[in-house]
Amino acid sequence: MILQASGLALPGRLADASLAIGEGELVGLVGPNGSGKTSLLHALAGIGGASGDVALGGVDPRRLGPRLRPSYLTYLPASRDIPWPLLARDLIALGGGGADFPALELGPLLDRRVDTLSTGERSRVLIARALAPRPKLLLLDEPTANLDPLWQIRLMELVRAEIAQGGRAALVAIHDLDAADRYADRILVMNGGRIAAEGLDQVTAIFGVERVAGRWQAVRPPAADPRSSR
Amino acid sequence: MRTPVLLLLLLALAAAFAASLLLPGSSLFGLDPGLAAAVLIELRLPRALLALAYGATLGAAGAAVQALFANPLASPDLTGTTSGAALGAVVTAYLFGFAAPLALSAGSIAGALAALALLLALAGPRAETATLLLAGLAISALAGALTTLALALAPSPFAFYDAYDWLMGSLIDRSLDQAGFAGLAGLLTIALLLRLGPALDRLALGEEVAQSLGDDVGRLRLQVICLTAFGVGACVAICGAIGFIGLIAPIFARRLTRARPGQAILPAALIGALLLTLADLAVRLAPLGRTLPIGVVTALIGAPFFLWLVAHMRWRLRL
Repeated sequence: MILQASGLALPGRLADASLAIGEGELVGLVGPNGSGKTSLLHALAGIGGASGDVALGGVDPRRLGPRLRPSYLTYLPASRDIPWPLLARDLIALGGGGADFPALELGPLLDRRVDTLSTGERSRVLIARALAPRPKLLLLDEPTANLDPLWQIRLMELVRAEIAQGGRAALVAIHDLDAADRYADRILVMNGGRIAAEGLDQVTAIFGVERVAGRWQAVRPPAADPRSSR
Repeated sequence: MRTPVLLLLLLALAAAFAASLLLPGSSLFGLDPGLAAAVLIELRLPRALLALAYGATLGAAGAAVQALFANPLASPDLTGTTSGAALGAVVTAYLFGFAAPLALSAGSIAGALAALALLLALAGPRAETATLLLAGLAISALAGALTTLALALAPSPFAFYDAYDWLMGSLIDRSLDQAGFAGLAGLLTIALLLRLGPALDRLALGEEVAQSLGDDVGRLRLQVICLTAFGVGACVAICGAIGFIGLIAPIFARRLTRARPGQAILPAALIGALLLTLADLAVRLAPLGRTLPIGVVTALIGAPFFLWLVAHMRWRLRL
């Protein structure tokens, strides 16, 4: 196992979440809105002070400073907003720099300011920022949001190719159950701040949707969030 | 960052500093050498040094505050820091007099800190321009009103006159000791802010990403606030409030060097020093018969620039 995390807790957000990810694995993280997907990514990335233990390649990445951290993990937030009008080139360099990705076709974007890019273009730049340091663990929150269908496929294939190089893995929060099913080696289902299930067998109980003749359909109200039943 | 631009800035700054020492030459070269040396060392050197120190501190502090709030319109004077420092200094001056630089600095640093803390509490760490400016305006207004109140309650007409004269911002008649004090405080502030430059650059990626990259954003915010309050407070204690340099210098710096927000601290310090030295030269060489307070001059030049900037942003955003 390259990542082992246990007892991750943040009051009101995460309740004792534990997970392990093996080398070369792309793990999909699905769950209803507010189930704690982003909070789990934050806890692993050292954002927001959740308690619990994290070991990534034998090291707690939350103790590492800006010099080493990007080679252990990088985090792509779901928001594509960048507070400062940086040049795309500077943005990627500030994330720790490193490899370029011809597959992302960033050439014409590098000398433009990120606030002048379209949302999809900005997404590609931000993804390049997360991939460039070649981290052991990629934490990606909705990486395919805002991308057209071709770029969604290219991006997920790029992520797969990246983690196929030894000693790397990815945890990808994603709402699209079909995409999760298609690209992930394993799927973790979150509900109520904990990891409630593995695989899509129980999605009907958690999400209240069911695949009928190849299409997702609403079947009944989803199970109540255990946090609100108190 | 472009080294040639930095070298050019340094050269311009050296030229302006030399001009500020030697001009006007008529009152220097015709004199008896001893007297000329006295004029140079006792009068002109402190003034030129203060222009450098205060301008550089304002430029660096402005760049750091703009990076912290991710907002190009933040600056020590628009966010109320300068007015808070002025209020702190006036209150302290009534207690200890204007000739006690340490007490005065402590008072004005405390005022600046209080103003920045209030701003952060009112506007939040990632304030939108409108919120930031409104909160800054409110704090400036409050500090201004309290300063006026302090003036109205002046213990004597002399105390009133001293405080009023000082409030307008002036580099004149300060001793070499005072200039050295402001210079050291400014240098320390700029050096420590420069160390925060890389972290401020990463903050431009957003607070969450900066944290995921290993930065302690809460501590960074506290460091920037304390450092700018310290530097600006120390300079305000010596020279009074001088506006707009902290707004304009970082904007020019980023335009000239295409620097990232944290990288702009050094060029902003150089440009701030250059702007204030030039403003002081203009004050001195203007054929007006009497010397204008330099704070009035920077405000007269800076306010229209600020108006232009606001209008420019409005057009760009098509609001």
